[in-house]
Amino acid sequence: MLKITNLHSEIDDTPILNGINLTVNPGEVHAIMGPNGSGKSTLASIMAGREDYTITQGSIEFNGKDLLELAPEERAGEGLFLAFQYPVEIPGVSTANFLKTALNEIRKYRGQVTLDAMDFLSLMKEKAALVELDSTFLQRSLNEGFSGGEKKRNEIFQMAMLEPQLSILDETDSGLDIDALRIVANGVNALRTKDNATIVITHYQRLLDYIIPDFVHVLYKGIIVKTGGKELALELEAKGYDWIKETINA
Amino acid sequence: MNMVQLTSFDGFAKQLIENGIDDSAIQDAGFNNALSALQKHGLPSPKNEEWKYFPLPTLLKQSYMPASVGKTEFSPSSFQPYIEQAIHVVLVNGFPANLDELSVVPGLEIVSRKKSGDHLSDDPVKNPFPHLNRLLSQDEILILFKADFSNNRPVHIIHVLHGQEFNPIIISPSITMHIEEGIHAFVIESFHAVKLTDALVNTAVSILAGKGSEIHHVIIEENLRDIVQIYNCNSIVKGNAKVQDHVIIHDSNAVRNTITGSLVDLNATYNIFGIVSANGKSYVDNHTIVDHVAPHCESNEMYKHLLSDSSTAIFNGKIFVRKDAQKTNAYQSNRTLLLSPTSTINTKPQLEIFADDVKCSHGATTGSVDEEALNYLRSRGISRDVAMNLLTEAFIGEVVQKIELDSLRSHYEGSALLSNKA
Repeated sequence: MLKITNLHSEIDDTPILNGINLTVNPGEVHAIMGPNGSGKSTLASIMAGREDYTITQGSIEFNGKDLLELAPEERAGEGLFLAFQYPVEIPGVSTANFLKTALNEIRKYRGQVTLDAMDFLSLMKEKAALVELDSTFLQRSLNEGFSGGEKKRNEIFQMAMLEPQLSILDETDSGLDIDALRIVANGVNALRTKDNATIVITHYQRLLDYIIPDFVHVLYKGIIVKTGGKELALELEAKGYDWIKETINA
Repeated sequence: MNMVQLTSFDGFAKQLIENGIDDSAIQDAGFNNALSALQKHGLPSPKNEEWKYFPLPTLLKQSYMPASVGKTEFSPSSFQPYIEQAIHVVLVNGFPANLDELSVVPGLEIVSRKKSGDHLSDDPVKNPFPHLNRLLSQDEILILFKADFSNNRPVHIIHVLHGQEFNPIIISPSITMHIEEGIHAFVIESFHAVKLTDALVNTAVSILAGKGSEIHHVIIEENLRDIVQIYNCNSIVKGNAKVQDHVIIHDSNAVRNTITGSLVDLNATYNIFGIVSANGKSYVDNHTIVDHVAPHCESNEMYKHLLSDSSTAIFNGKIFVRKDAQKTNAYQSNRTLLLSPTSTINTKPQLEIFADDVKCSHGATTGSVDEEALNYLRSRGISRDVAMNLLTEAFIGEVVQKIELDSLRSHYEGSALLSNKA
């Protein structure tokens, strides 16, 4: 589904990623961990199509297409979804109106018929329940005045609505209390199928108690330095990132 | 018919006489006061602070043919049919076209009458155009909402601007509205150019809102591409009354509005809202004056500008709080979204407060579209154009929501104002 090959990137002449290789297959959950500044969020942003980064080498292939050639909205149409670390507040645009537009634009991209107001409404109710999001939120301006937990739940709600093939959760656990974390994780787990895949980017092992990864990758200085199963996350939690740094720098 | 010169007003009366103006008009004190004001001051030069950014010298011609009574074969309902249930008042080049049909609405009197009054309230240096209007139209349309008016249908004044044999023409509509005590009225004015290639439209409107009355007055200035549109409106708001002016400007070439609201008695409210969407090389200038004369009054002002291409907008918002106007609440906000690097806004809030127990605030912001928001929307599959529309709609939405006539508001919800991208 996703194949990242030797990806190098920089921002303002500073190298951030120095040769990422990663393959994700349908049905898999990958966790990407690493200390601050290791390039985790950069990788997520590049996949979602942010234009601030220069790709100097390498490629990203998504379902056989060159992802880097696609505009952000085309990537969403192809089935990629990024749950933002810092969801943007958009005053004056209601969550419902935003999602109706997004869903129908994606459906158009995929050559599917657009949903009418009734079908959309019932779909929205069903998916909002999944992340225990109150329906009054849907009429409010997108993320405006939402708490940290509500913003993250709203991200997972959007993910549920748009049914992506590959979801990237960029530090979705940051700023969440235990209850919100459980709600978010339950939402993600409920959306898992054998056809879709998830990349979880996180600092801490905590989220991975709820979303069990098949693979754990450790990113350090813009390169994946270690890959293992879910037990690698526990080992990291116990030993800290210094353990990785010492191993690499030695 | 002869042209009238706007460069010098010395021979103006003579030119009007040659055009067949009534002798009695020339004898009138109001006429002569307006004429001497213009003779003394002329039209504004670029040095005039009130007209600094609106390029009158390049927009105006030296002389114009005064528009004469025109005919129109258009049916009123073909203009803005989305305004439901309206009572149509059709003016062709400022002259009434269907007054005889309007006598049937109870409590509503609409007549054409000789102008009265010796002096205009407008300062001829700051704004001579009402004085020019006074010279060129001896009659005015009086719309009287009387004590037995209980109709909730809106009155829609349709200004048909019709091209004539000669160019350029000057059209001088003149309207006075009186709303009697306790009456509620909704009035829409809209301007429509028909077979018109070059014109100066100089409208003068005055509103007198009696005690406890309420009038919503929407001014629609759309698709006016080949004309210079100068619009002047003065409202006097009596005790417990409310006047709400709402300007919608879209896809027009050169618009200058000078709109004044005077709060003259206790507990009066004056609101003025504006939506400006400009493109091409257009100039849109809104000068507003909110005059708090009496205490315990409130005013709210909000203008939003969406500027694309090389358009230029001007906003000047004056709020006067007179010495006796204690316990005034006056709010003003002006926000601008620049959609292109070559669009310009000149904005100037101007508050002059002489009372010491008041709440006044003003704010002006100017910026471009939030790239973070744009990225976020695009990452959810929304194309750049659609995302831009969502964000600009959201931006002006706050002012659109202030339109209290459902059918009119629905028309502007969505992207009606945003379809003008060149």
